[in-house]
Amino acid sequence: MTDLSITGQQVQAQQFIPTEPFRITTNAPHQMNDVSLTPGRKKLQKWLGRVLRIVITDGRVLIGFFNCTDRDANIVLSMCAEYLVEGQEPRLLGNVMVPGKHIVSCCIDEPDPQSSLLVQ
Amino acid sequence: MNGSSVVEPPDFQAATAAAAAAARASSSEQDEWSASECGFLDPEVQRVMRSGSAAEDITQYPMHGWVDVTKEFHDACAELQPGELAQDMLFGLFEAMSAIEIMDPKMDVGMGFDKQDLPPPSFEAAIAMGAIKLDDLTPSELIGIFDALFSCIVSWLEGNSMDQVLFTCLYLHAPSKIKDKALRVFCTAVRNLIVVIKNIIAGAAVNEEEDFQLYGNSALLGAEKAQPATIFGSLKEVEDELVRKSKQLAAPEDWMAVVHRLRFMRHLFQVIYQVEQMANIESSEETMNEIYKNLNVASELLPLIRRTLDRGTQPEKGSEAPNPMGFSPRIHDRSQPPAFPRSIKIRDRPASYQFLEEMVTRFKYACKVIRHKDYYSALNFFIEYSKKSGQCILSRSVLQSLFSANIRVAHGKQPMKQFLRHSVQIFNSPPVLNTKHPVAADPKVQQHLENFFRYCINMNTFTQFIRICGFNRARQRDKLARLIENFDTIQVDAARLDSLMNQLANEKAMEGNEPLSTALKHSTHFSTWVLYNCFRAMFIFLMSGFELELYAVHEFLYIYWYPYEFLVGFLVSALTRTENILLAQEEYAEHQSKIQSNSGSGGAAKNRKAAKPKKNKKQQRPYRAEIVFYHALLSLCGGMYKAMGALTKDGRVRLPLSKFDNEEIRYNRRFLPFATLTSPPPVSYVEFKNIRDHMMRPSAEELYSYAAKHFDQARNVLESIQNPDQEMLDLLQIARTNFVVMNVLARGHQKEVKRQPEFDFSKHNYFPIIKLK
Amino acid sequence: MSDTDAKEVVKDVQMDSSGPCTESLEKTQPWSYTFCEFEDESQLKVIQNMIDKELSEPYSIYTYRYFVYNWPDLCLFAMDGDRYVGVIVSKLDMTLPGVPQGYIAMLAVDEAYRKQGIGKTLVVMAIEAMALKDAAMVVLETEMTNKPALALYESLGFIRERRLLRYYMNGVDAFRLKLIIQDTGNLPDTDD
Repeated sequence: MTDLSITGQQVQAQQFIPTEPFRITTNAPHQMNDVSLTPGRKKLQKWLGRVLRIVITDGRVLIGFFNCTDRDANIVLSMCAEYLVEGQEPRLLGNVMVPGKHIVSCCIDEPDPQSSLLVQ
Repeated sequence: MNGSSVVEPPDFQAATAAAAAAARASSSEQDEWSASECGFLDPEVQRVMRSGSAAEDITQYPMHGWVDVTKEFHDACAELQPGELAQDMLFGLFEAMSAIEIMDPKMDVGMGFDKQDLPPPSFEAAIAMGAIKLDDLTPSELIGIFDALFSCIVSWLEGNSMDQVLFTCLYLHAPSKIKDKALRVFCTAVRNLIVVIKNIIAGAAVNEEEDFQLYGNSALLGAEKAQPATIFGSLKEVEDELVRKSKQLAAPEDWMAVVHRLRFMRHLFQVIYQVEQMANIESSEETMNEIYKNLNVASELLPLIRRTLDRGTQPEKGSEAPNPMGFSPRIHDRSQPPAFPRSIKIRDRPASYQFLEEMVTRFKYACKVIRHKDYYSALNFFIEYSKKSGQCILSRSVLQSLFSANIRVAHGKQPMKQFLRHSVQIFNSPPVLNTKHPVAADPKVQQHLENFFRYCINMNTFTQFIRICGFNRARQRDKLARLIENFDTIQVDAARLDSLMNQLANEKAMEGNEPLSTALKHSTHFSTWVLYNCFRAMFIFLMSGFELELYAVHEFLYIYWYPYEFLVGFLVSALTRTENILLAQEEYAEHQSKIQSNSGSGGAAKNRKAAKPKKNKKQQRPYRAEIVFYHALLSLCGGMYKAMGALTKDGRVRLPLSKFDNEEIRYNRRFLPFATLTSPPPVSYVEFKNIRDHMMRPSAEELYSYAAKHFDQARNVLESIQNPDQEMLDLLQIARTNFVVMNVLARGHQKEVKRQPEFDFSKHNYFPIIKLK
Repeated sequence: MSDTDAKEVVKDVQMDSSGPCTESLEKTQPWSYTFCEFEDESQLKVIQNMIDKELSEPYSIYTYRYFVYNWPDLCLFAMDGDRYVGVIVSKLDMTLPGVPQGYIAMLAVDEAYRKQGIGKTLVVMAIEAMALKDAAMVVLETEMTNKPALALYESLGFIRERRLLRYYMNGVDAFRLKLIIQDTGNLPDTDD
């Protein structure tokens, strides 16, 4: 049975990076400096915890904190606000999961537009 | 599984704590996140931690600017392995469980949104669109709106959200803007009715979230000030005007139909209002009479209203709106909490009026609580009422209010304490509670009594018992379990009081004070009173499992065994003891009065303090009927116990696999609330097993015939009751039928094919008819 | 278990009859299905397909992930060759402090394979796995209208501990079922 990192009992401080397939990439400080991470993972790392704006297939706009994603871009947002029409009164939804297949576009609130394009 | 579990499993806390600890261990820089901080995955804390100086309000974003990262994001995700996640270090999968999945119809209320769709009209928008009339409504339109509103009221009382049911009626948003007097007054009345009903339900405190939603959008209710005292007058005024008007116009019956509805609202409102006011006013008997009168008028109006249902505008087919004009069903969908949407069913109009009719009947029945001036009879009344009042939270709340008001009026300050004192006096008449008896003057005695009753009140046990009867049936069971556990300390205190009385009695006897000594000796039965109530609670608790369908067939045996072997017997002996005390006091009083009359006060009966001789039999034995009934129950329990034994022996009961099943554990679990009681002492599983094994030694055929005998005994007892009520008649039928079935099985019916019989509880919640398949 | 003797005796008493109840819930033909634990992501879709069909409650992919990522060894599949025909999803944690409690979240068997004891086998295996990890008890909720599930759990010794009125979104009542494996004597009710 693969060593499970998510169950607390099995985590050891030194062996934080688990084997596949239950690997997780987080924005925990020690992982931020991990040079073995691929570029894509690094980007996701940077974006975690920041505010995303997602437009979905029926035209609604969802804005919330980026908590989690998987390979299929099933994104979990927290404190999410739903706008039927942008600029009008939103409905506050709390935790929301946006299936990747319904994502039309995805923006991030970025202070430095250049930095997001820098890839290591 | 439901999505509303709120307990965070320690695994995640441990995981993130470990992550943080790892961070701390490997990072030589500042401790950004301490382990304890990371232990919290509470969204609030997350939010605070994230934001720091940043805006907590998501609507303030973007703080900088939106940069499109669609392609980058998807490319980045593509680097992840199947099953791999990129997640925020404070994130927990546990939270994600309750996340609403967008575009899933079960979870996403906002989906299917079409930008071209107009939002559902608000009150102002509807006026602007000309979708609703504010004036010159026809009787048909009025009837349609009134009937739809009554349906909404019923749906609300059945547990649906006020916003999504009542306030879909646009007229309710701002009645003061309605020009049509009848409509304006009616809608104002509905608003006030809502406020008063909420007060009653909140005040009675027997509501649980599955019964009724007390909270909604308070801004909707707050929009116009509630003035309940004016409603009666304004409704009457409009009624009178319309009655005059109807004589002048065509279709007077239509206008009268409107009047009937206004009138019904007036009387219903008056009832509800007076119940709420009972908290403040003095004379409850008078008010009760008025309430009763109003209820009678209301119930007389209902048939008239139901006859004219078709005169109103009817809901359109395929539309969710309960009436074509004036309702906007989806108006509040987006302001509801983002929990998953519940299906809202508004009852149709005939069913709603049926509900109201039954509710009015229940209220009338609740008024009778005023006759029950002692605990024993009040408790019985509450138990009966609970069986009849079903799921209606308002009925249950009304009864609680009436009862509280009633005893407050009867007993003034510290009403419950006085009520209990009075009740014990009624129950077994201990002379120490008789204010006219010399022993009552003894300060020591009074102090002991005061302590005991204060203790009872502080423990809240008796008050709780009556209140428990006001909860819904499922919650009653849970609360009874707690109540029973609490009875232990009261029992101990009552026993202490009894022995104090006994001690004092001996002291007085030594002093040669015979009357006082006897009075005290007759007052050593407080524990009987406490035990009697405790036993009742235990019996109701145990039997409630049948009503709630909690027991598996293979558990029936021990559940029926306990009342048969112990509990019903305890109840009977407590009551018998009480009767004997009363009889003994009677005889003593007669004896005393004979002595007094012999000692020369002549024929004057006036000076005697003793009770009159030869009370009628019924008064001497007030518990006779109940004792007889318990004998019937005893036999029914015995019959079921032995029947289950026989069926098990005969291989007709599906037994659990022994791999995990453990009868001892099940047994202990089912009797858990009884385990801490001193009296009755808990019966261990081993004891039960011995008794059961012994019972099951004979052959199945013999066991069937023993069971049959019990059912026959039950039948005898039930048939001996004069003027049996419906419950007794139902039990009689059950006893007769089971008697036959047991005999049939005793004779060897269906020997080859052993099937588990069906247990039909439709006639009585506690005892099934056994049906062979 | 320490009360094996007790159970044997109970069984003797209860079975001391002219034969066991001939009515049985499943056919007892021998079958050769195999069972395995959750191992990788591709099985997640399988679970979703099997369970989404059955349930009226809403679950997202992360709901399933919560369970199977944390407790993969408590997620078991039944397989007919390489076809997935049944699944059970469960967990074990300390909802009650100091009391390891198992929880069965989902159970589904392919329609074509029902009434063969697969569901029961999955439940038994899950409970055994939990018992090995010292679970004191196992709980779950199920709709009161779900007669097959109720019969299954009852036949394993679960009792209906509470009735939960209007528990589900569709207004249906539920039962909370509980199996106590170790009676420490002081197990309180989890609610209230």
